[in-house]
Amino acid sequence: MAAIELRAVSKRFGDVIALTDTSLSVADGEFVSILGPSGCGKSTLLFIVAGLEQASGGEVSCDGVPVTGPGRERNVVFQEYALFPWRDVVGNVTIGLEGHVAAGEVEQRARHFVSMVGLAGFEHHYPHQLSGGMKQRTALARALAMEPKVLLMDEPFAAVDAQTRESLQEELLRIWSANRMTVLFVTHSIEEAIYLSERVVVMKPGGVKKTVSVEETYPRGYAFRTSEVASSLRIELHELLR
Amino acid sequence: MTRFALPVALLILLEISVDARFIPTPSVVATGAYELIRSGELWRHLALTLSRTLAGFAIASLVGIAAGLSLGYYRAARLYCMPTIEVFRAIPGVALLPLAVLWFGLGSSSQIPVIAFAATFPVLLNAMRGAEELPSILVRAGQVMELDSMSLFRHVLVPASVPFIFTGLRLSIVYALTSGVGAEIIAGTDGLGFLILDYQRTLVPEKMFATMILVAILGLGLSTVLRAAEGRLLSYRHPS
Repeated sequence: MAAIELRAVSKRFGDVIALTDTSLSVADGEFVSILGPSGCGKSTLLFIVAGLEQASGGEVSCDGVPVTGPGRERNVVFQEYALFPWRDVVGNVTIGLEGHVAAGEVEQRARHFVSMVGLAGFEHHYPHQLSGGMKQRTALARALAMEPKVLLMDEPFAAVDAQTRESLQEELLRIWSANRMTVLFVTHSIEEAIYLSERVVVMKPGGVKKTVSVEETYPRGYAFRTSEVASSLRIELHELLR
Repeated sequence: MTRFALPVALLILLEISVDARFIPTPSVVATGAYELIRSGELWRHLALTLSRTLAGFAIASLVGIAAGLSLGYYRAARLYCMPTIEVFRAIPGVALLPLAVLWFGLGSSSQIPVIAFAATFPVLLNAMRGAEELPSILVRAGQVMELDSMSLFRHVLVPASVPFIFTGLRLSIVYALTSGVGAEIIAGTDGLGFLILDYQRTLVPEKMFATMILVAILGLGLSTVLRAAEGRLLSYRHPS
């Protein structure tokens, strides 16, 4: 059974059509990127899977269960981090655990995920004291701590500098390889989509244009970024996006 | 030091330039203040004004924060209630005093409701603004975690609105004090407002001025306490 299944999904905002007749199936544990220009509906698609937006038509299911609203098994990492500025790093992680994990374990589990994303030593820093990359690590720790089956990421590394982005990508793959949750990753960066994913779903305004597979095993080292395979994929995806 | 320059300059100017037949000079007012404090008659009135102000302010804060946050969060409630609130807001608190006296009798029992009424609106409007300005991304983050509406309120809406709420509280505490003093002037038999009127009637202008200045100092003190509380609550904004 597919971890995420969209069948003939459409979405309109008033008169604006964001998605028409869009279908997509993501296997359990798969890493899929959604690539497309701004305004093509890729974030809308992600938010529909998250249950934050309601589809105007079609069916969305997660593990065969129809999606009717947000759920902890489908967690989101937002481009804007969406951290709570009045809570420190650990506090931002514990908020998602309170009431769901035994009270005595909340703090310990939060700390575990904070160090997993490389923020050990910054537990008691507040968001305004962190760089963009560190904020996004915190947001990632918060999402991971809830142990979602599906991780939905909305251009999570778009706002950080190139070097930080590469190291965040590597860490994400490391964590994904260890946990093997399903990842749906929205991006407008061709390089990012190739480096991270097993499949790249190329969007055009309103729907899916084509799906391209990335035949490269994990772990993917730095060499893959500049490899022949990657550069021919880059050309192919570039053509598709024109 | 710069912030004391203007008040000191004003005092000096008053001291050397005023016609003592119309306004007592600062030094005379200072003597009046000293008399007021030494004789001990001041403290009872000060305590009454302060307790009324704080009681009215407490009610106003509770009502204003709860109503303001709800109105800010629920757009429909806002559309439904705001025109009515805008109309009530335009009524001066002290204009309700005659009615309050009929309902509750003279003294604190009618003054406190008037103070509460006047002080509710600033905190209500600011809390409402805070809830309106709540970044939708934080609500979405909360929804993704499946926070129930109580947790969303407690852990997202309230903390995000704290800066706005405090702006409102600082306005409200001064509204509370001025309405309280106003109510005491209109129909009081005690309190600082009554003292001001009483010294005017008995022709003791230096004590009248001294009491007015005391009201100002009281307002400043109350504001400062709130500012300090705000600073503590919002310490997460500053590097530690």
